[in-house]
Amino acid sequence: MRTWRVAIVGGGPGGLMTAHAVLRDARAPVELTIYEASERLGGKVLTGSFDRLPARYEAGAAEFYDYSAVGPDPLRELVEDLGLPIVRMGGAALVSGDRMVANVDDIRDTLGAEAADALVEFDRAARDAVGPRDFYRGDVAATTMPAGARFDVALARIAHPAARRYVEQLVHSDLATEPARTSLAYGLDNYLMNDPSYLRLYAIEGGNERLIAGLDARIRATRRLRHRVGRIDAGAKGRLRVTASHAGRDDREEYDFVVVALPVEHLKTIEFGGAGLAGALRRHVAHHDHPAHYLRITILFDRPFWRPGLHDSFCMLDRFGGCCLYDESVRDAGATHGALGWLLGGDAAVELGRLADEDLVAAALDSLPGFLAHGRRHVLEGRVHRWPGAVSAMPGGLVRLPVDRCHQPEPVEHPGLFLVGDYLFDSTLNGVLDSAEHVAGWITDLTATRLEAVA
Amino acid sequence: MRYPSIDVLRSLAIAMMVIVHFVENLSAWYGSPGDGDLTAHGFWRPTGLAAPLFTLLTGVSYRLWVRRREARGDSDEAITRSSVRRGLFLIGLGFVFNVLVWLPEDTFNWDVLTFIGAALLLLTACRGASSGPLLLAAVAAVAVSPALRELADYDSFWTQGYFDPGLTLGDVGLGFLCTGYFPVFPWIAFPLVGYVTAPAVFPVRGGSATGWPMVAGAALVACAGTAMVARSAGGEPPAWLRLQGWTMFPATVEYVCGTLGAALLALPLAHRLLDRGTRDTMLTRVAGTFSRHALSIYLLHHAVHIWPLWIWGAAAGADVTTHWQRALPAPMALAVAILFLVCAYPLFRWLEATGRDGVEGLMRWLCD
Amino acid sequence: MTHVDTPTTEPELLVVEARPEEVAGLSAAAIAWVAAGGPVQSIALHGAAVAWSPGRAAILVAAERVEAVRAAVLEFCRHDRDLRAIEADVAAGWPDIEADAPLAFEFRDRDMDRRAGLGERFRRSVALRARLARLAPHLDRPPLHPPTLASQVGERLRERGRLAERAGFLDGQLAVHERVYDLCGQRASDWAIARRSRGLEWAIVVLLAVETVLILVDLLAAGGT
Repeated sequence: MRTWRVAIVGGGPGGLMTAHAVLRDARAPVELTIYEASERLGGKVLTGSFDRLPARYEAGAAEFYDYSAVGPDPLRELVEDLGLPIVRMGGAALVSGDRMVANVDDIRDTLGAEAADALVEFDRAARDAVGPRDFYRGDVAATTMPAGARFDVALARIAHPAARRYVEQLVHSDLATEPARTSLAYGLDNYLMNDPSYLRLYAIEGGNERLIAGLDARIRATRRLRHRVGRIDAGAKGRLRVTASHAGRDDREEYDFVVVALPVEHLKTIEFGGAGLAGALRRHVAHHDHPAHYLRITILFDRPFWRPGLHDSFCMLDRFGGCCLYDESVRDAGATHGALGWLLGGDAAVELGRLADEDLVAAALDSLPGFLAHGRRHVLEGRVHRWPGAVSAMPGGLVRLPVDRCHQPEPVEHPGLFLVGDYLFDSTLNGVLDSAEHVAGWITDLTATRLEAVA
Repeated sequence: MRYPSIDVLRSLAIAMMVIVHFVENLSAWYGSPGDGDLTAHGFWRPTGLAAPLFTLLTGVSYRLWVRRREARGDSDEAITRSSVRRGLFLIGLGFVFNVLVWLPEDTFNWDVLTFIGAALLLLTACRGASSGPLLLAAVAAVAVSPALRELADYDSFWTQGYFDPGLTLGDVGLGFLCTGYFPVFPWIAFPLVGYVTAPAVFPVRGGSATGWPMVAGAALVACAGTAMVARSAGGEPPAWLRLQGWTMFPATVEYVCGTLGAALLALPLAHRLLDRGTRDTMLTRVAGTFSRHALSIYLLHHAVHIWPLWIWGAAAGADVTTHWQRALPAPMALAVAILFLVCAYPLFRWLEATGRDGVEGLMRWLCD
Repeated sequence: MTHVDTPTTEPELLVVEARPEEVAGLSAAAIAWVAAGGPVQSIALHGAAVAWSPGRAAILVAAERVEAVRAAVLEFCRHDRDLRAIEADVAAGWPDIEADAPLAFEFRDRDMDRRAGLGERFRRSVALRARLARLAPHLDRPPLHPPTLASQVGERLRERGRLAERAGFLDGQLAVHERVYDLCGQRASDWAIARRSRGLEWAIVVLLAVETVLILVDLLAAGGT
């Protein structure tokens, strides 16, 4: 029986999920190789830890989306399959000035009755446009929106400026971009995700990176860390050749299938050989090149001084154009310390990302509302993580392409080359799993089909 | 649990049986004129209740025994196995008893032991039936017995005043079915009725007793009583009823109705009077002892008064049966019977105290 | 089918109008008052605080929110009380389930006395299922969006009280009850039907036996002569 050689470029969640799914579903022997340019697997799923105390925080992806109330949720099932306990997350409040605005009643008190009515009207319209099932299926929502429509147009229809500002601040850190640079569908999705009937949020107890460790433990593959793939081109007998540089040396190997599971920004760094393949990837990148940016600032305090005032897993601040403030210490049961994490997105992430880490920590402390300003006294340590271009501001592009075309850019002469990424679907880990499962199923069918043909 | 009422009634039956047998075998045959002629007196009549009461209680006790074992969790198979073994044990014991206590030619007398053994086998087979069919079987057994006796020519087996069959398969079979001392027809009615009556008189814990046995008993006594009264007034009940007067051998329909009815009245009455509370009185102690050792007493009392007759007859160089029914005057025979009963109680108490079990223990050891 | 009403007594309710900054200072006293009703659970949410126990509830909230929050808390207390009542009834039925379970496999004549009891317990489990079915839609309804303080309080109380999970557990337990009594009912009914037909068969057997005995006796008597 023939052994199929599969290379996966990118050791982030997309690459690992693809590897896991290929090995799980394989009906023929598969030899897997994973190329990762950095020294670690996991990509933007990164759980950091402080020096001063044994405290963890999320430096990358903050939470997972739970769709199981609406329909099957493969990511939730994968987390359960790996035996990982979860922590429910939630938060409805936005700190406006120095006031907590947690519900419609607070909006009425803080912003006025007209603003509250305008917000309710916008909410109703959003939920009319995208129901929970549409939201769940994603592609339906996208294809029913007017082609080329941008989210700022929808925001402009909010009559009251305070309500408009409220919505902008609410979604800014989730969008990781400015409303004018994203699609109407994506903008509505990021607004509606605050409604628990559309999805709920959770994290993995002990750190989201346990997902990476769990996948890694189940994958039987050759892992080539610090191997940067520089070129992919056609090899002999229909195979694909991968050229990776490691310790100043280039390694070349041929594979039956190559899956490139990289963000668009990193996709640009790979040279694809042959006019056809290069052209296809150029078009692919151009279609999906809508970078969005994150900046994470996490500060360790000697106690969770913000409780019980702030008692949810996170809230929004109206600072930095709207950012998310996470209570990182809820992820550690029994923790006596406190850790707050600021998640900035869009232009604020880019501009502030140029500052030094110490300046960013100071800026974060300055952004605390007045009733939390006393927290400065309790600072122990601060950490900064920059994620420029790590996600897409417009996943799937302004106009969605057929799913197969997204994942197999050049099907004629390079049918063994596949792409995986959250930017193809919804810029979430759920989306990258869907993308990985799609490609893995495709490869499984091809290996089985060809095996049967040979027999 | 033991019911004092059953113990008392069974002891009463045993006592009546001992008295009847001592008087019958040592002095004169019950109902025949003899020396002292006590037996012709009306006060003797109630002793005819002994066998019907005992056989009815056999059915009642079997039902309660099955219920106890089911409550203990024993399987149907185990219960059936035990029942069949006990039935066969009693039949075998009956044959052995007839040979050793009576005479070898009396092997197929079809006396009460073989009858009770056969009744046990039949009750085992019918255990799954509900009350209706069992009562129907009891009624049918009584109703058909006059016809069976006629077919079998009952009187030809009793020409000597006692059951005297030929040793042929036909006579043996007929004796078992309808002409012997305790043939299946009609005597099977008693244990069948006892089996059906038991749950009504002795309900399971939490249940309530029903009154139909007393009603049925009263009705049966009334039927027999009416016939007796009519006869004493010079009339005769209609022939088609086949009541045939009051005799035990054969057990006529009138006799069966009267004795079965009396037993059905006595049982619930005794239950109501004696089974409330757990008083340990002299009555319950004596009754319990006799009831527990009924089989042993049956065998022992026969040996005690029959073997001396045979030995005396053989010692005199004559037929062993020479002194049968001629040994003692009836009052003296009665006194000896009472003496036996008085001595039997301490004897069996001693046996229990020293852990000796009697024939009942042998039966339990072999069959359970 | 009999509907067993759960007690309609409302919990003792303490409502304190307090500004958000006053709520923290009053919470301890409210909790102490509520503790007299049983084990206490409490939440603090967006300037309001609620403490409750099986017999009492305390609400600390701004004046303009009192009525809405009070309604939400009372609704939760009612649902919690109803759920507790069902839980207690289901728990009380376990000894009977264990005693009756063997009858779900095999039913015999000796078990006929227990038919009435089995029927009564079957009706009881159906009644419990009906109570749970009527209650379930209220326990896990989708959250209101955009939320009001009252809806947030209600949702948080339902989460903290684990109403949806408890209803799920009861569903599983009741499924066991129903399965056992459904099977017991089937076995009992099959047995009763079999016994009725058996009675007729036995009657026929008796009559045939009598006929056989008559023939046998006739033969034996004829053979003797």
